[in-house]
Amino acid sequence: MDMKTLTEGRRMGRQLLFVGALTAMAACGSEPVQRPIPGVAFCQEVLPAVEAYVAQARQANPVPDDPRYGGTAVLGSIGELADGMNAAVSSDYSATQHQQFVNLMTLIDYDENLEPRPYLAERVEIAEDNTSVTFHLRQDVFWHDGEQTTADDVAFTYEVVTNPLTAFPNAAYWDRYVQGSEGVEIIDDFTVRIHMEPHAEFLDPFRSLGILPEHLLGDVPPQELKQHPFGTQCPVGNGPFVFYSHSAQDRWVFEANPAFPEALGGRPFLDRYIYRVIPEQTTLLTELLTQNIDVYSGVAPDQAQRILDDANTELVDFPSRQYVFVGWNARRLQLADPRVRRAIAMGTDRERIVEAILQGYGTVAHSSVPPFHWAFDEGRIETIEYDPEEAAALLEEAGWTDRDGDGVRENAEGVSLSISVKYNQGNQQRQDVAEIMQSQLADIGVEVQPQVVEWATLLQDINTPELRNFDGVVMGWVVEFKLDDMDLFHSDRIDQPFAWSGTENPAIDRLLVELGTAVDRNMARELWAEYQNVLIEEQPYLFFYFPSRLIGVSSRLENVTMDQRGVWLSARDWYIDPASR
Amino acid sequence: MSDAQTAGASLLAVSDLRTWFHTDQGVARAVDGVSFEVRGRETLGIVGESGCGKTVTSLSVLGLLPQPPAKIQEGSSIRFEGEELVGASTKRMRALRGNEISMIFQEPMSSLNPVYKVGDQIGEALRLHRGMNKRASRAEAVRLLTEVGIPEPDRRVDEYPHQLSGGMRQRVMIAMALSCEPQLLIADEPTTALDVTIQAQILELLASLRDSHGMAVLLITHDLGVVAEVCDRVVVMYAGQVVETGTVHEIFQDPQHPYTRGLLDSLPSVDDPGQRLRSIPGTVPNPIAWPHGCRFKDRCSLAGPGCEKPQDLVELGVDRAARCWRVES
Amino acid sequence: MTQYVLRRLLGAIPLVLGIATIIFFLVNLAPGDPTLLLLSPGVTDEVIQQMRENFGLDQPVHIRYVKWIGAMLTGDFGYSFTHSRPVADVLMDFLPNTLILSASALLVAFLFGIVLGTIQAVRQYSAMDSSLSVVLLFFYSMPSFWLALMLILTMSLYARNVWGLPIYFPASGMMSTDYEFLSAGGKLVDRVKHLVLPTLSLALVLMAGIARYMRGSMLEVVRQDFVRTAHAKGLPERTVVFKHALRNALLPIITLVGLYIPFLFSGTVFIETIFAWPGMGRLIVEAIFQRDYPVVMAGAFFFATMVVVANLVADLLYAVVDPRIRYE
Repeated sequence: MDMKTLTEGRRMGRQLLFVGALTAMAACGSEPVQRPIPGVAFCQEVLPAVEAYVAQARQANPVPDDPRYGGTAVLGSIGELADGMNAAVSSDYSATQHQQFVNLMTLIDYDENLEPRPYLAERVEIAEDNTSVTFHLRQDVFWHDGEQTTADDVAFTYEVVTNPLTAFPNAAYWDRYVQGSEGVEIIDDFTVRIHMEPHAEFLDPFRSLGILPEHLLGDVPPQELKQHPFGTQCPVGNGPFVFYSHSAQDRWVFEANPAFPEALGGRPFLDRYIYRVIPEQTTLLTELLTQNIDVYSGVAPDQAQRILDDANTELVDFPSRQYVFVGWNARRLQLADPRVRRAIAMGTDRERIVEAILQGYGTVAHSSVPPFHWAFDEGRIETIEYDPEEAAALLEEAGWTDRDGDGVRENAEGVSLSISVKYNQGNQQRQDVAEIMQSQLADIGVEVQPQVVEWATLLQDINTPELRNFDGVVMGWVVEFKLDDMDLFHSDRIDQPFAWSGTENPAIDRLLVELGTAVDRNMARELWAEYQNVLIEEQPYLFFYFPSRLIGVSSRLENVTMDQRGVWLSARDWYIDPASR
Repeated sequence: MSDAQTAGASLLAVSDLRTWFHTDQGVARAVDGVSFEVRGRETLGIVGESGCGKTVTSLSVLGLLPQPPAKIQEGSSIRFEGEELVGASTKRMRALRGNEISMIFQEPMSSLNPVYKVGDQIGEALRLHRGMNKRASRAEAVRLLTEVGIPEPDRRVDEYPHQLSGGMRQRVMIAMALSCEPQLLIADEPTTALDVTIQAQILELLASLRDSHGMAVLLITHDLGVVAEVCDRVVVMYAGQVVETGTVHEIFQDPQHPYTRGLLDSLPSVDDPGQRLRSIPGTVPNPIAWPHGCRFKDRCSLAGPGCEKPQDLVELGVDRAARCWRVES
Repeated sequence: MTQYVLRRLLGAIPLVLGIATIIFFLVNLAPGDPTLLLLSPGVTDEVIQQMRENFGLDQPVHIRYVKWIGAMLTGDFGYSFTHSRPVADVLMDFLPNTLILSASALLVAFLFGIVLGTIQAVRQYSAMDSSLSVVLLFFYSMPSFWLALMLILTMSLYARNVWGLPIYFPASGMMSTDYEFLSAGGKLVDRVKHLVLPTLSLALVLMAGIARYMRGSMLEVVRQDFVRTAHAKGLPERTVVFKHALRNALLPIITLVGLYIPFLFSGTVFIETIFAWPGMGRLIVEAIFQRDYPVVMAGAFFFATMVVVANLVADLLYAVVDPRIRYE
């Protein structure tokens, strides 16, 4: 089926059909329909079943007599949940969190020490030779339309995400797994086994992948999953919250799942959880301070103090898994020499920049390994410190001197050490990074020209292998707990989109491969230390900082735990202080 | 028909009217001590060049000048049927306007509101002053249109001003002015903007209506020909002052003031074709700074030593005066 | 008159088609491609190719053009890449939100603008005129988004937290999160409360411009001879101003109305962003950044058509209001 047929098949009337459906529903004699139903065939079949199941589950599981139950919590954030609850196509941070913690379930999750623990899978068996992992699923988990969650769903989800036609955004996760239907084996209704090569952190992907319902999506051709209404119009999950409604660029409404397993905490305390899209940070802060929203996710560093000062709000901050860096295109003449790149690092006072831009809410990055990660050990890496004299000396040694007295160094052929640093429009922090670098590097004779570029155009500039139209680019990168820089720095992938730096370093290649297969964390630590030092020496990027994620939380919302595992980590435990209702 | 206006009784008595304008450049004394009388059933003409203050005089009567910058000075008096109008309340003035005293203006096209029907505009004064309803006022408007000589009045009454010719619009203005049977009609240059042939028609109409309604007319004009047609008595104004008064006959036969003579001289004559037109040399002085002494002296062929002091009106007889020291009483 | 309307409508067709063509080529020839945004490690070239096929982007531009025009003429505006729904559905969702806000803003702006401008003209040079001029100039010079933020700070945050006022307004959204649980009356009040700040942000700036325009127009009209005639008939000031002068002074304002009608449909992205109002402005801008071609093209085309229609409506309005204008 191609897009055209899809379009025609879905060319329905507008609200009229909605009204028609409503009337039909009412006429059928069942309870009056509460949730709005989009005028798409798929949703019209699926949502009434959800409605019916939820109503019945409410009857069967009355709300316990505990004052903590009840109420609505509202969370506001800048972005829309792109691709919604469709775990097969979504890479948006907030959206994947809703899949993991709110609407769907993952096989495992992590405790405070980042150790795996059971969730949808109640027991996990790892083969002796590390070539397979077997998940024993809970038997008390039901999709929100009443179907039971079984091994079929896990197998289906696995096949879909390893299918190239789906274009799963984090396909790198599955590099060392056996792809497709060969990689997954259904042992029985609640037991499923996945086959793989032995490698590091092999459970991590199962922490972030939401399991999808096979009975609803099994017949959809993988290449059409991206456009399927399941994601943003009528998702059906099995998690603590049931999807209620979504109005585009406005809000998502979820209600408590009355049939969520008791062993996992049972029905959430909240009656409803609402995600509101508010694209302006000043407005978000105002809504938090006027108690119109309970959580403000993505507080700007300069707003933090307001939240701290207010008696009714609290500030939560934790180191994030995202780092900001300046990627150097080593294919360019001026940047080909690692000494030049190291000199630039020495010439940039990153501590002060972090202090200035982030008001202290962040840590300087030395490599792609986050400071909170078990692989990070400050004592064992030789970090580059701010030392402009040393930087100048290094540049001289590399053959760059100011020959004509214009303040900018040239090489022997007279080429100026002048580099452009691109950043995307609309991001003040990245603009600040570029501009501050410009002024600091001028002191050591390097001319930096900041250039603002519209996002999609910038992506085209840096991702297109034939183009690589940039010298330096200020970017952000999100790491998973399973760290893997293969796509970034391995020379085999130098013509892949993400090989911005154009690195060809045999030591890095070797380490990346070894790190990928080191199953034991203790062994891995040695390798990680070595890798980080090699990376610092090679300086494919000027690693800048890991910003902290700042969240503003109303004091009436209790049981809120947020850390690098996610903002929505404890969503099913949140409750509203009864005294404040 | 208006109720019997006693011919000869004083209807409008203007005494020492001074209307000054306060501008950034100074005080313009547009009307500087003007006195005249309009009697019942008579037509008084006020004649003069542009800038002599005749229009301001006529507007002062009805209080139609915006109060800043214009101001009627203390000591001025305008009495209508014995009632003092200077300083009268706005309410009283509004009751008089369009009712007892009506006014028609020079440019009939711009004097009518382009977005309302002609009948509507005619009937407005009727609805206001006579309390008629829409239907009655419309019927009366039709009747008035007939009276002013507009053919097919039933059709015309629902038309807009731009659909009528210049002459017809002025007829409409007249109909509007007459609707409430005023005692006094002030006509400010009613024919100046019209073709010569239409002019004659309008003047005829005015004259006949004046007679049939028995009302008085105060006619403002710069055109002596018009004065000759319809006026009984004349007031000649120059530089904000009255310089000569008299009957039409007296003025035309025996003008006393040099200015009046100059005006008459400059009339083209049918009898003398080919004769070069005579004009009064110079221009009207600036009202912010009237010349000292006789205001006409700079343009007067008879200027002499007696012209240095301000001239008083010299009485020459009943309703006959001239402001010139050379005139013998 | 009917002939005139028909001719205008017929003439609009090639105009609209021309606009559609320009829009199509502008959008499709711009750098960047929706599939770029979907790039992630491990997404192979084949997959990208497949996606481009799915979006219909693999065909040459002129073929895509013909297909698009053909589809549009039958009312099919295509399928949104990012919303996963038919574009027409998406537009129908966002359009009423914009209409509500724009209509409120225009209503308030014109109402107050006309009244204030008239007051200023009638009381020219008075203290009221001068102080209004200052106030209106202040609003006129203010960027609407800054005004929006100030309104949020004062009428939402400070009103509630600092001054403790009984009435304060929500800083964002079209309705409260518990909207569904309100009574019918409560729902109306809720909607209105949410409308106040965004409407004011838009209306105050617009109003200032309209007032200035109206003042000038009134001043001109008030000097006209027919106003003097109206006075000479003994009509009260009120009637002279509101019956005779106003109607004439409003004629040029109709041009303004015509200019603003498209705004009813385009929305304003700044205000919508600040107030989290899900309107056409945000929709189209987001679609541009995401390279969601079908939405961008449909939105731009719709908006362009509205401009054409609005011009026609304005011209027709003229004929209705001014009897001197008659179209053949």
